[in-house]
Amino acid sequence: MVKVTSAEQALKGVLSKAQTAPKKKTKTPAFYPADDVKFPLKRAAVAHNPTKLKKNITPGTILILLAGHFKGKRVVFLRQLPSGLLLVCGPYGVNGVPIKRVNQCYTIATSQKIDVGAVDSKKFDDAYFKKPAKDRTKKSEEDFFDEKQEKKELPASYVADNKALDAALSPAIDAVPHLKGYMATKFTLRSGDKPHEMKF
Amino acid sequence: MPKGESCRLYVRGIILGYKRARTNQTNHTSLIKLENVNTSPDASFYLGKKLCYVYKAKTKKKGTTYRTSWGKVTRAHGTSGVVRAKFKKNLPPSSMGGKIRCMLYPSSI
Repeated sequence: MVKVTSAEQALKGVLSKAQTAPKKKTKTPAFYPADDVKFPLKRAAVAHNPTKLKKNITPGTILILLAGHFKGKRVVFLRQLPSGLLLVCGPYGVNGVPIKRVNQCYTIATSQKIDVGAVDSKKFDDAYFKKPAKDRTKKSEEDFFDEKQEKKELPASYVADNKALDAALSPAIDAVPHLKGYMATKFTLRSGDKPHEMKF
Repeated sequence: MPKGESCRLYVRGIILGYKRARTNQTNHTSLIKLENVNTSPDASFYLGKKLCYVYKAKTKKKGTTYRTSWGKVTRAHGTSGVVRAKFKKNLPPSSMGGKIRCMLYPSSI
């Protein structure tokens, strides 16, 4: 055993350099400032820990959505986005699910896969799904009362994007017999079903 | 499935009561019996899954008389497929014997 002569020596191996280095003395001002000086709080930068994709999910996997407006729908997985969310598509023409992002914990991955090599999903990044900022300008009294309920229409580019995806995915879906009908139907539990024993 | 037909994506369960001993009960943990789950290995599939207790109240809140109480499955209780669950707010005693929904998310499949 090594003989330890002093406390400093004992701590040398345990503490890092920053902890053992003598602390700098900062001079405290003699008076407090009369006015509050506001300064931004320093926040430690949070390192983004990327979401690990479940092993059974690969581009082209058919997923079942578990929650939200489209629950029970079977969709095609295209790729994982940098935010960790999954880029999925119905496609719209088959089951009414447009291009959207979904968290993988709200999906069940099935063993069915299709070829999505023909799909160009480059333009669907996280920024694509950002909603336009709300119009927060104050309305005058007259405007407030004769506001007409305008029907919001989807941007033409969004509709075109979904149509393009329909066209790109349909040969791959048509290639597998009965797949189109399978994609168009919803997944549901019925009496006596045991999800813990199901093979998806 | 035709349009408008229901799509159940949860497993039905029944609230048995609180975890308890002969004299003491621990209100913060509820026991849930899930339908068609009869062994503890089967119950392990449901660990961490969200539970939703849906009940009806007299007064409308946010335009509906239905209210929900959310919790999650924490562990198996015994070997017959009963599970223990924790809720954000402890379940009320009036919920005993009531129906509960065990969602399929967070999914690990």
